[in-house]
Amino acid sequence: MKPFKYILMLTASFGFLLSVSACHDLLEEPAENRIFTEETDYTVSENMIQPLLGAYAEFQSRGWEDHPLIAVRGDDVNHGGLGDQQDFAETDKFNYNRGFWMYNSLWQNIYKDIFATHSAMEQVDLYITNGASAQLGNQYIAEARVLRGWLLLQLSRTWGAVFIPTSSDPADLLTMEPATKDQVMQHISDEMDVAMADLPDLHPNQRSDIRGGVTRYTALAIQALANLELKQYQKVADATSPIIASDKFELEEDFYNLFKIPGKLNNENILEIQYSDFGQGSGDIIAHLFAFYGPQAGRPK
Amino acid sequence: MRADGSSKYQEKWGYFPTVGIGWVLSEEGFMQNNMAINFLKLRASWGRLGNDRIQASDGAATTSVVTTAINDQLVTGTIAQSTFSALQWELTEETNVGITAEFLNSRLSTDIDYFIRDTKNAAIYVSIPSIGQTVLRNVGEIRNAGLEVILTWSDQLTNDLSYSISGNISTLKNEVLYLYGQEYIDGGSAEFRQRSIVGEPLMAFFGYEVEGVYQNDAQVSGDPIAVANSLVPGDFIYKDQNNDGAIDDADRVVLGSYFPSFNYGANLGLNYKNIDFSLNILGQTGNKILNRKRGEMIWTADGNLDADLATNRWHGEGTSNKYPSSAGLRKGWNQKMSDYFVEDGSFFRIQNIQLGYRIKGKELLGNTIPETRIFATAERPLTLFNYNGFNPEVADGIDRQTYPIPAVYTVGLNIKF
Repeated sequence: MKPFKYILMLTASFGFLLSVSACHDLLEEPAENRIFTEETDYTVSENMIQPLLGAYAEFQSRGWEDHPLIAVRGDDVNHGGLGDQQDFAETDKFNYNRGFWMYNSLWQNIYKDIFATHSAMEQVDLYITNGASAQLGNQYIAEARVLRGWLLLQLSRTWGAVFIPTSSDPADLLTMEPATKDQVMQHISDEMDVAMADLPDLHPNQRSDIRGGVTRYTALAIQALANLELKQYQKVADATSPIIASDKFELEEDFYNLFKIPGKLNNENILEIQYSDFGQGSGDIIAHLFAFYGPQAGRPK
Repeated sequence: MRADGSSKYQEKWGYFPTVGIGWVLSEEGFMQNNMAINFLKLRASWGRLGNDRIQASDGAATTSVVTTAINDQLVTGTIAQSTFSALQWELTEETNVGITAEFLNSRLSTDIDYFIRDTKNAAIYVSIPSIGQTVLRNVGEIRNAGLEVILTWSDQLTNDLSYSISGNISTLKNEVLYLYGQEYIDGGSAEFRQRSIVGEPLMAFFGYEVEGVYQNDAQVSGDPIAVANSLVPGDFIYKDQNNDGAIDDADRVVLGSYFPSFNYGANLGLNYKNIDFSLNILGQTGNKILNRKRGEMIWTADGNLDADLATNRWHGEGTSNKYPSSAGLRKGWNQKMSDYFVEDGSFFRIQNIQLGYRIKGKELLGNTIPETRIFATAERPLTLFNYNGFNPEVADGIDRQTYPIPAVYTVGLNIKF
């Protein structure tokens, strides 16, 4: 009797286990609320602009510490008072504290955006191979290339020898040696030559699809700046002459407006990081932390 | 043997065996005549458990949607992320050997355990080069090892009086064993660096050692480091660990960890006729606390100071060798992560005292009073600690806004109808 009871129990439990195996399928389901990149339909060519807009979005969202740190050692930006960033004031005196968070943050912010531009270029390429217009796609790739050039320019001006990424996979940097500043500047100049061929010959505010975006003159301007760092002054002149000759650029008449809404996307700006409150008193806003710019005492008249 | 499956991770199934053995020595033939030892058991166990309380991992590249302003219009774009987390079950393997024994007519009993708990495949944040983002990978190995001893003595002296005393101590050593080939992983924030280094405790506080404070101009001009950094009296003297004549990030060392190395506690219970009394104390030593409230002063000039810092700040030659001057508090040099921020978190606390009186089956005014107990309790009446904050029990060793925990005194009446 006893062994029979045990056999019965064992068979019942095995049977139960087998029936429970049906829920294994639930384990294989992918996570919800995620857009998996491999699910993207690259044959929908209207979406080709999306990765490029993503690159612009990353380019335009700058941390509040980015511009101050890039510029503080020069004459354009004073470190201001000794508020809550003493090491920032020390940087103005060329006294560097390697543990200061701003240095780390600027490096990471810029590299994250460079990888975003690489990712945009790779994604647009996938759209082209799946039937999108090659001419439009190459223009988008060129725009991302110019944004990448600007970011590398700021990075190398701040640090000198930096890494030149070649794809959107950050793991590539693990085996890379940093390039010297001259090599980076030459690389930027060469990249601008490649990009220029595919970019429209317009003032940025004349573009209709991405108004204020990158054009041929943006690439020329960045090329001029890179060659300035290399002290190749003839090349600087060669890059700036077409910009002047195009007659599309002129100084803003009232200097005051350069810092006001009428100055947005005016003829003076070659490259603008765009912000907007969309004319609304509340709701979405794309903004930058401007609060600490300007004198601590005194008011505008 | 246990098998668990989770949809959160890429490797979905985990298998968790456990095995234990025990040997009751006091039942053996050679122990039968032993009067002193009433019960003796040796035990050992090994087990593996899984932890799925870690956030789910994507396991594949995802695309995120971002917005920006173009021409005063909100536009959306996409970014294809190339990095993602891929995880499996985190495993905890524990090896435990112990002795349970009772002596002297079971009045004295003891439990001694030695355990080694290894967390394998610990999900740790692996840094992606250059972008600072991290992804989770199961690549860490962390060890917790320690000894626990519990000793209890209970006795009944007369019919009316009985008491029991018990004490327990436990030691803990936490060590990072393996980090996927990385020598260390940074944690915490840039200003208050915590670093997990192989061979050191997890997330140990990492910074400079303060040797003292510059007291006068002669001391400043005599020290090349002070001259190079334009220091003045009232600034910290940091220890130059590698003796290279400069204070830089190579001079940082492990300052301690928030894991207590030693925990202890005791209970005392007393029963005399209708009176019962109990006392409970506990304490720990060896842990450090990051006084993040002091750290907040780096950013806000008008925050509160703890009293020790306010009275003992340096304000003249010889006034302090521990804290910088008021002007120094606003200088970057004195704001580096150092043992000025990392304090000793040991404490001793009387957790609970209770005194009660039972009135049972008595007659009053001709009626039987229901079972009544009057008691008075003091919860946390005393906590002794050296730390300069309000409460030494802080989560993960970082004290941001921990409020003092009040002591509660209660007088009560318990009546059973």
